[in-house]
Amino acid sequence: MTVIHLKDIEYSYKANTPILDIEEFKIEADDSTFLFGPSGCGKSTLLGLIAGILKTSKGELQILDTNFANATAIERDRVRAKYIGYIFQAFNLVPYLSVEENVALPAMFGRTHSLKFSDDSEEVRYLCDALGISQFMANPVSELSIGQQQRVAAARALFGSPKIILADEPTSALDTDSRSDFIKLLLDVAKSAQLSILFVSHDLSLASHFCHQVSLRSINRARQ
Amino acid sequence: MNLFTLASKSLLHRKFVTLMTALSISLSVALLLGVERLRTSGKDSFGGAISQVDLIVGSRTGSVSLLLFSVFRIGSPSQNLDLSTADKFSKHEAVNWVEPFSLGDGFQSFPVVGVRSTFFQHFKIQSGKDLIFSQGTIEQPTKFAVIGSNVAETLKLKLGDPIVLAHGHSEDGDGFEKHEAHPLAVSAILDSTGTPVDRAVWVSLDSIEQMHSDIEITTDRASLSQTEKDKISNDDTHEKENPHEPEDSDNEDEAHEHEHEHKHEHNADSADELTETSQPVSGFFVGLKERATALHLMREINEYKDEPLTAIMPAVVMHELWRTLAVGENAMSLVAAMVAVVGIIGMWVSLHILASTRSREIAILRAIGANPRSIFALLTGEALLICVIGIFGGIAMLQIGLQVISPLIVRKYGLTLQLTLPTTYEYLYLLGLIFFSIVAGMLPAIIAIRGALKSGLTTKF
Ligand SMILES: Nc1ncnc2c1ncn2[C@@H]1O[C@H](COP(=O)(O)OP(=O)(O)O)[C@@H](O)[C@H]1O
Ligand SMILES: [Mg+2]
Repeated sequence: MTVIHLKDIEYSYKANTPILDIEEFKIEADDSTFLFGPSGCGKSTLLGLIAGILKTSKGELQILDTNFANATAIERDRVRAKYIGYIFQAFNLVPYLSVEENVALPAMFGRTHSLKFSDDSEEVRYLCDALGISQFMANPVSELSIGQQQRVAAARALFGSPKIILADEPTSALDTDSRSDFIKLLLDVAKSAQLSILFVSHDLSLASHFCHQVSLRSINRARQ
Repeated sequence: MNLFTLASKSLLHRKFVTLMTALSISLSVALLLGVERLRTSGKDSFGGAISQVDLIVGSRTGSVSLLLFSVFRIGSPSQNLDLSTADKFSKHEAVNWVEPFSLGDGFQSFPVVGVRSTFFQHFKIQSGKDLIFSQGTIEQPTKFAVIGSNVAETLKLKLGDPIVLAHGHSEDGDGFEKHEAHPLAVSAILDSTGTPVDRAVWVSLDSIEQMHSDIEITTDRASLSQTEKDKISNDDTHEKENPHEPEDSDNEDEAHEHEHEHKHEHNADSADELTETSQPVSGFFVGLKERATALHLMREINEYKDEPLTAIMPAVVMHELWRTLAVGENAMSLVAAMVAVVGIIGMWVSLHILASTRSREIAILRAIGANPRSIFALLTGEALLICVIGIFGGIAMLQIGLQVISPLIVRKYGLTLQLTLPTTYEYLYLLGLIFFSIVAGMLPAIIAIRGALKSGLTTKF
């Protein structure tokens, strides 16, 4: 089953300077894809489109059952809230909430705990255990290292078993050892939850962890 | 967790800015409501100082000054009139009762008013409330001393305590001369009323008369040299015609004789009246049989040929007084409104700065699935919370402030400020403030959300 399907997608922030022009891009269920390309080539922009935060009306942008190219902002926000987990490069967390409150945040916007768990806090505990941050659960996020903060972000993205995880260079602020650790943990938990991962990075050394590798440059006809 | 707890946690995270913003709102609320409160409650307490008195009559003078000295005992009468005039009008067909009063003496720093014992049945306050004796009663209608609650409290007086009147009274509490020969005792203490009644000592007209005749006889007015007379009138703050000299109780009987003769020379018209009614008084209160005749009788008194008199309807003059004060009042309201505007602008600025430093937070919440509406609700909700905290803080500040200043006002003017909850008018102010704070919270929220929508999740930080 295809969870993400882009066809003839174009996007530009300003008129006449297209950032993206993609003929076709697909991601299947239960799959992990590594999307790479140099800085500034439009990786984050593509993730923004897939997440439904940026809007294009050209072409087809099928995310699960919804075509984002002709869906309303409210529909896109709802699909994102329910089915998409997002991890930023850094500063993923709401500074005035504790670790567990950050992890459980999706519940506030419509993605409650998955059926495997009896309540939100049980799933939070499980995810924090799986990602090795259970000892910080009650702490304010400011007390955590960058690596620990990224794990909290991963736990939050995984909370409530979404269908898609979008990760925008989540390891670029980490040292080399913790990068592999982080990716292995993320892929492990994702596999057991049977969801698709689209992992974006300019760092080709991480490519080997994923099933598929795609170069954005090779699929993007804009500017190049 | 819901948006409300999220907003509260966010505010707690920014304690300082939140507190300062709320404080600026509190100050404007306190000021705005304070001015309003002083205005309405001042009006109420002022208006409540006299009731069911249809006319106040004094010797020819300005109507406002007559009201001020007769009811509030601010200022003093420039001329006296004769008691017989008051009694003459009491026989007027339209008149129900007449209560003469005599001002110009003091006890400690409190004004002493000479009245008849029936005064306490006729004079009402606060739309018809009786003056009530909380302790004691008047047993001798010609010799009593009734004190207001504030007098009793301040001077720690009990029933039976001696009262030595001073002729004329001064702010520092020492009269110019003491009438030690006529000690009175506290015969009754009045209930607290929140009006100038609380700050007066009421004695019988006879006691006043007795004292003043004592003074008058000892020195013949004519025997004073011109310079001495000038000196007296310069030193003297009270406007009574009677010069005052150290009393001498010798030859009392002869003295009374002399005094009456002296009076009669001045009031030829009252010569056929009983001699005992010939006594200077400051004015008299009039109660009518029919309210509707007030205007008529007022005109009649103002045109009275035998003596130059002024009659006023207290409610009308009170109203006039408020109209003259309205200019100052409006200026105060304007200042308060301006403070409120400054408060709102201050809030707007800090909310705007807050919102613009929160693009990261907005991006996070957007990524999690928050739609612009939730973000909007969060940001305006925070503004609203700050505003509500500010408003309650302001009301608390006002109540505390009034607790502090109202005793001062009572001491100075005998007026009690009502520490009531906000009136409808004040609620409107508060609603307006809440409305503006929502707008103030909305604008930065809109700007921040538009920014977030345009740049997606690529926000730089
Ligand atoms: N909010 C924005 N407004 C205008 N241009 C933008 C914005 N965000 C990114 N861009 C431009 O779009 C291009 C792609 O950016 P981005 O998707 O962030 O690249 P990457 O994530 O691959 O580094 C860059 O040239 C960048 O300057
Ligand atoms: Mg990027």
